[in-house]
Amino acid sequence: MFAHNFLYTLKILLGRRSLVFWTMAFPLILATLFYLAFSNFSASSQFEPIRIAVVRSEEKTENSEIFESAIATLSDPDQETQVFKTHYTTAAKAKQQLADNKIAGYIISSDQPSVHIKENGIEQTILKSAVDEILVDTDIIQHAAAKQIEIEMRQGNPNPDVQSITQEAADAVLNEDVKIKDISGEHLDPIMVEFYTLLAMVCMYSGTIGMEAVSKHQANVNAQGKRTSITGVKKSTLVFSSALASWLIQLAALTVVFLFTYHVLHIDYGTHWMQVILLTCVGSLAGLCFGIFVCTLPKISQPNKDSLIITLTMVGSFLSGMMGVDMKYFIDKNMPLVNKLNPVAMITDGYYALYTNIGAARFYEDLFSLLIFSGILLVIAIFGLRRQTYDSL
Amino acid sequence: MNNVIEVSHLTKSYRHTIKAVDDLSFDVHEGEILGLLGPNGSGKSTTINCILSLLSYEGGEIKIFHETMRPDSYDLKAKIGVVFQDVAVFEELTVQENINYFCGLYVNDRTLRRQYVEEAIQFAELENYRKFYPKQLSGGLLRRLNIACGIAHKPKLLFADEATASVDPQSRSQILNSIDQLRKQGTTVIYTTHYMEEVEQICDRVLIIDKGKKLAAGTIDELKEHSGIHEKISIELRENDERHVEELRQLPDVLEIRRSGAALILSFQEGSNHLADLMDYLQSNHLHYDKIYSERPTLNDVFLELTGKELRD
Amino acid sequence: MTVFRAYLRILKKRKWPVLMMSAGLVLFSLLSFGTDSGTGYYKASKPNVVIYDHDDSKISDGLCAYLKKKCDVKKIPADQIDDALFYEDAEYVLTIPKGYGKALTEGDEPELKIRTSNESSSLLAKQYTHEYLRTVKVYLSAGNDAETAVKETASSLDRAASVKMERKKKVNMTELGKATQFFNFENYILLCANIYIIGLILFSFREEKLERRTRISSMNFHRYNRDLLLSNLVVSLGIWAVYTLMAVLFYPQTMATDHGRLFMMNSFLFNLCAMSIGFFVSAISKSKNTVTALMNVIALGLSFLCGAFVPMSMLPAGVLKAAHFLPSYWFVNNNDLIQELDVITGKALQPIGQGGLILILFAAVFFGLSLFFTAKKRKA
Repeated sequence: MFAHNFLYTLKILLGRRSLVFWTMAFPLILATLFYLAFSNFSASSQFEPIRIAVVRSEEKTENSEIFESAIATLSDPDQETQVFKTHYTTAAKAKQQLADNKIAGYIISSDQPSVHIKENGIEQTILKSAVDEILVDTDIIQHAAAKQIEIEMRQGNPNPDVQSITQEAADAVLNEDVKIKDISGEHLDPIMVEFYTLLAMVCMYSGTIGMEAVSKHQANVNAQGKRTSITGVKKSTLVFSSALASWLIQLAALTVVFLFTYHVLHIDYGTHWMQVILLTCVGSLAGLCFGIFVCTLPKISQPNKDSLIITLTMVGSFLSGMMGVDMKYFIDKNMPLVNKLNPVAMITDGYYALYTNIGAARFYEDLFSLLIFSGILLVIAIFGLRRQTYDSL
Repeated sequence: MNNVIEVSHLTKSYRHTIKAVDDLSFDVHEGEILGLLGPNGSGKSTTINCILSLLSYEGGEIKIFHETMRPDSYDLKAKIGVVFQDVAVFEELTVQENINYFCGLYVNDRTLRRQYVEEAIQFAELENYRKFYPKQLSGGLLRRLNIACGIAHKPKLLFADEATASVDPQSRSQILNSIDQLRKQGTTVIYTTHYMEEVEQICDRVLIIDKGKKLAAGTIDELKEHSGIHEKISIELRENDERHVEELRQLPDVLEIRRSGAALILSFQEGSNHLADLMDYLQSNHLHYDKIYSERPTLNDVFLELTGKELRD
Repeated sequence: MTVFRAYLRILKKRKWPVLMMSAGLVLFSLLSFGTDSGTGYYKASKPNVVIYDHDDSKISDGLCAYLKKKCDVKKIPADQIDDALFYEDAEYVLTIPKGYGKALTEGDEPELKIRTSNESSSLLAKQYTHEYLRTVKVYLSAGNDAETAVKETASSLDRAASVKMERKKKVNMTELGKATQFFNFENYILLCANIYIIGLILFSFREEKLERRTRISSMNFHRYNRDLLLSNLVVSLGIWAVYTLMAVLFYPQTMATDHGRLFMMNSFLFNLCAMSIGFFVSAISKSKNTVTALMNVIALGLSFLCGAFVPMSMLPAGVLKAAHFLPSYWFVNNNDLIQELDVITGKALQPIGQGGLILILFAAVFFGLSLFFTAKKRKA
């Protein structure tokens, strides 16, 4: 009976073309859309020179000349340290360009330079801090030069070469280096988490297939359910065999999604392939058990059960970072219990743990949580189905 | 007499207020076709669903093959077949696959199953439609498929809940013959229908229920006797006058008079020569008529008498 | 009124899916924007920095004090630092080893170890560290002791240019930024709600047998369609009103300004567009599964590709070009333009007005397409 029902359930589910099509097509379409949206992400986190304008000082002073020279150095496209893309213009034109969003800000050079901006973004912050650094450096050089001049005069030199001393002081200040070593290693891409939430969402959506498979054994859902409810086959046999068939279809869909995202979109799942496969199977199982559980809930109509699965999966995906990876981190940090009960988050976190090599303990914790989640829901569902009679049909 | 089904004091309410089945007791004898009759909302389907343990009930006991029926009575369920009012087949499977699937839930042995499926296809006269999908079948063929799925495993007990609803006369005749054939093969059948002619054609006994209560049970002849109507005479009078109706009502043995279109239908209790007496009366009172005929009461008359409404209301 | 009453009855029957979906969407909005953390890819202008100071010298104290002024210094335990770096809660992690200050004072070249999340966001923090320590070294080389060097460094680093904010109108910039994000996120919300709710209800109306019965009734079919459209409009406006109310509650200052009014108008026009997409989806769908799947694909797809979740500046150029053919692009672009608006002039409003007209055009196109497909289904 098990094999008989299993094979026929496969046939019936595969005959529901719309269901099968969307099971396969939906994750592929979404993965492609994500890929298109995020393909520039790593590139865009590298630094782009900031567009600014400079209004040259009307009165040429030593300080203003030092300042403009420093800005020119920072704007040199041949230098690795280029920070700005600068052009020189009048105050009125610069004001208009700022209003028209053609520049991030403009500087009016003088003895006391001023920075003009319209908003507080990262570009404006970099502009301000670069200008401040020039002023600070100028101050330090002047202090150092003044001290050196004082030393020379005390040593008996009444006319020290101010220009030379200042130049030496400038060289010393600007060439002074500090040893800072970045030990981060390879930077992992947080955007991968988006794809992991997508996979997790697809795993949970397998609940709808599970529901389709099991509802044909529910007398209060359809006539076929009535018929199978009065056969001599145990409910658990029918439900398990139907569930297994729907799980197989979902795994086939997930295999296609994996191959596509790995080979075509080059998504990185880390190096622990066996664990990735294991997690996918268990995640899909969790979705299936969720669907079976919802299917057996009494006093809820079939359309409402569909909506329940969809809505809860959407909420779970959101809390796992699908619409912004920061949300997962925020929930994990501030409301950890929420994501400990959220199967989408468990699956996402499992993939994350494998990708970042954060440690086997975390991965296995997620895996076992999923198994416990599946087990509890399945037991409740079977227990409810076994002796199920209805108040009305 | 061996009872296949024993229902004692069955009570079922919906939402604790609407009593769908009210202290209903009846037995079904082995090898008979029991007709279960009642107007819409009388509790027929509810009774069947309670017997099948699909519905919970507050009171009473149900035994099938002398064992208490429960949702997990799988041994009992293996002997039961059901033809539901709603067509219960899968759109994604062909005719043959549907029958094979449902038969396979009862019969494990592949060779035996193949034989049973073939017999069911022939029984339902679906040989030319094996590879068809349900969407491609007419209403009548779909009903035959529905029946084939319900009887393929050769159940000892069959529930046929309005098996011929929305079916053409040819298919209906075929279905009735098939059910009669099943009875000859030893299957006990509980047959629900709205068509009185079907009950009269194939049922051995009839159980009439209304508002969840048993009104009458017995063979068709017993019920007709029970109704008290012995003879019905229809007259189409030329003059349509209420005074005549009142006068006719005063005749001896008249139980009731009602109109049916242009005709007056007089129901007589047991007695003799009603037709002759009536004709004499009409002649002597110069009451002219176009048609007059006498007939035995039908089951519909019995039903009407007991429930106060036509079965098709 | 008959059609409208039937519509409301079906809506009432579907109230649980509708309420569940609405609750989910409200939850998204609350979590995203009712908290400080926020979602999306907004980068703060102050880098997130974590410092582990094992030195406790005058120099390390001075460095920590300087970084506290220029950055957002967070306390994150060492066992959580990997996650913090991955999710960029910490963009720059500085570890000052024991004896660093002493080594620096003695003229050595000790090394500081840092960990960063990615190049651009940690650049600033690295620059600040470099600047401070280099200045300290200069003063130390001039013969000063550690305490004096730290004092002189603090004095030098206080030099700053004056900053002028060139906005004619005073606005709460933080709230304005958050309101913009909220309305961009609304792209997803309005699409989901309109497609799901309207799609489901229209699906019930378009059920074959029911539609046949309607067609042979004495009701004028054009009137029937008009009433159906008006019913949808009422429900759609209800959806829009709920989210607009939320915006008013979360961002009262912004919503009371011209920015707020423009945001509302823009979202109103987009909601019309989303409603027409809901129509379109119900017209082409053969099953409720299809409606749900299309809802997810359209809502998520448009949100990701048109800058609702990922800022437009971070989208590839090719994608951005293609996005011009999608309604969400114009909605999100308008929101960003509204955010940047200073004084409301005809010239400033022109691009926003153009975007609004394009949204109306999209609404008309989708509505036309849905009529076409509905008629085609009927003839088949």
